[in-house]
Formats: sequence, structure tokens, C-alpha cells
Amino acid sequence: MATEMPTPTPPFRRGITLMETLLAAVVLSMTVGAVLMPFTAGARCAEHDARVSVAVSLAQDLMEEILAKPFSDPGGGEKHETGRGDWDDLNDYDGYEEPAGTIASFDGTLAADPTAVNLSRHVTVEDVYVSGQDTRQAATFRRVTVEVCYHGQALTSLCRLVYANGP
Amino acid sequence: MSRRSESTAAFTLMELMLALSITSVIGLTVGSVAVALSHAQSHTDQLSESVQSGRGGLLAIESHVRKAKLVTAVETNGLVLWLGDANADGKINVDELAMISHDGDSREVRLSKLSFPKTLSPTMLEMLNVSRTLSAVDTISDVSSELDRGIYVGYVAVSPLAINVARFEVVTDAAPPLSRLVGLRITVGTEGGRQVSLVSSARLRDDETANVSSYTDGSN
Repeated sequence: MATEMPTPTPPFRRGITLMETLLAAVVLSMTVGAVLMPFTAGARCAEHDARVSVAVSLAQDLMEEILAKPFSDPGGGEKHETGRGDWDDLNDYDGYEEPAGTIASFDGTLAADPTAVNLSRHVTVEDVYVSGQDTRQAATFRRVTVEVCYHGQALTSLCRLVYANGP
Repeated sequence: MSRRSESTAAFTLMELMLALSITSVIGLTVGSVAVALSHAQSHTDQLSESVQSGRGGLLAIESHVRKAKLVTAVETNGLVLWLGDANADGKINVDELAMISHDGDSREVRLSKLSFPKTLSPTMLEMLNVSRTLSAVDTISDVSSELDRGIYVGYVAVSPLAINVARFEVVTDAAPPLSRLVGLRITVGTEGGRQVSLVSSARLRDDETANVSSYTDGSN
């Protein structure tokens, strides 16, 4: 007789409710997310580091080129200077910009490495007067700043103060 | 009663197979994610290692260029620097020259330099440490064959500045010996693997380009 009358299973044992499934899915996804996060963060950090290294190298490259030029114009004029190849003093570089993809060394070779993609360079050269100097006279100090940006966001910036002791 | 309870107590074949297939699907997914992660990890590791070693190499080369007084020779894959008048005789002596060149076989950028021991007698030193005019050291092969001379065996110090270098290129703002700015381009990485090329420039901090004429003539 008992075989024909199975004890009814209690309603909460019949299966998994939708809420339980959803909860399980949420917990699982959180766990997977937590496990993967350090890996992706690590990879992103390593890539960022590599990019900063390249950016510093590019900033230094341009800074060395600028510092190789005399403090003031040796020719006395800027008339026949049409581009970077003709520039012969620090001030010529003021406002110089190399948008992403156009970064080139002084010989004109483009920086074609994948790590340099989306990097841009900007230069500002400004007159600096230290305290006690007459600001109506020509400046004897200039501050050269080379900034390297990634997607328009500053990655690194190099700054040098140059004294007018050259020719 | 007993048969019924037995059938509910154990897994059916269907349940077992379903569980197995779900487990294997999850296992495969986790496994493939792990493999992809480890690939990505080694890729970024390789990249950052290449960038670091390239940057380190460039810094080492730059430091020598900065200290140099003149660049006497420049070729696409190397250069020769005059490091300054160490013995104050107003001439370019062989032990004042430093050759930086890329060796394709060992994939190294090397610094080759003559260095005489302090214990060497003055007469011996004078014999060995001959002076050269600029025109005698204006190609890498000139300097290389100079360093290879039999009398200098044991005195040439070769040290690697950068390792794992696939390509090394040098450019200057003006032809040597009037160069004041040296552009360096280095490509680091294994053949077929990830390669990174880095550029940098180095300026001669205290150059002698204004006095080049005094080193061109060997008679003085």
C-alpha cells in the first residue's frame, strides 16, 4: 500500500527558485570578476609603465634637441626659418606641437613603434626672471618644458631652466 | 517502497551526464580563460622587459655620448667618440677613443675601449698610446682595425651596453666631427617575438667642435 502512496515532497524541495538561481549567478559573476581583476589590472599597469618609459624617452629626445640650440638667435632674425629643420634658437620651439602619430626625431624619422601610438608632444619656452632682475630687459633665463600626452592626457613632463651663457 | 526510495536516493544516468557536461563546460571555460590570461601576462611581461632593457641600454649609451668631446665617426650602426684629452697633450690618443657598435651575432651594443694598466712603464705607455688625427679615426673600420692590432691584445676592454638588440641606428645633426647632437634608435626584442623600438637623443655636454681644426692636422 505504501508503495502506491509516495510521501509528497515538501514544496521547497521541488527545485531551485528563480531568486536562488539569480543569487547564484550574481555570486558566481562576482567571484569570477574578483579573480580576473588582479590580472587585468596587472596587465594594464605593465602597459602603462611601458608607455611612460617610452614617453620619458621621447620627451628627453626633444629636450636634448632643443638644448643643443643656442639661447638666442645667432642669425639675428627668424625670417628664413620655415620649420623645425631651420630652427636655431630656444624660442623657435615655443608652442611646437606634434600631434599623435607625427612624433619624429630631429632627422625626420617618425617614431613608428606601437607603444608610441596616440602619444603627442608639446613644447613651451618661456622667459623667466629671477627676483632682482629687471623685467624690462631681455631675459637671461628661459624655461623649456616638453610635455608628452597620451590621448591628450599628460603622461610626463620635462622642465629645464637654461641660462644665457651660450653664444 | 524499498525500490522507490532506492531510485530517488541515487543519481539517474541523465542527471549524471547533465552534471558531467555542465562541469566540463565550466572547466573548459575556466581553462581557456586561464590560458588566455597567462598568454596576456607573458605578452605584457615581454613588452615591459623589452622596453626596460631598451631604455637601460639607451641610457648607458647616452651617458657615454654626453661625456664625449667629439664624435669622430658615425655609421648607421655605430659611432666613435673622443672622450677628451685625458693626458693633456692636445692630441687624440688611442686610449681616449671609445667605439660603440652593434654586433649582430651576439645582438649586443658594445663599448670597445683601450685601457692601459697604471703599472705600465712610461716609455711603454708612450709607445703604445699613439696619437691619431681625426681623419685616421673617421670610420668605424679604421678604429676597429686599430683596436685589433696585435700590440693591443689584452688592453682592449669590451663591455656590453645593451643586450638583445635587433637593430641599432645612429644619426647626427651634422657630419662628424662637427656633430653635437646624436640621435639613437634601438630595437629590442627577439626575432619573431615582440620587438620594441625606442628613440632618444643625447647632446655632447661640453663639446670641442669649435677646436676641430687643431685635431685634424697630425703635425702639431
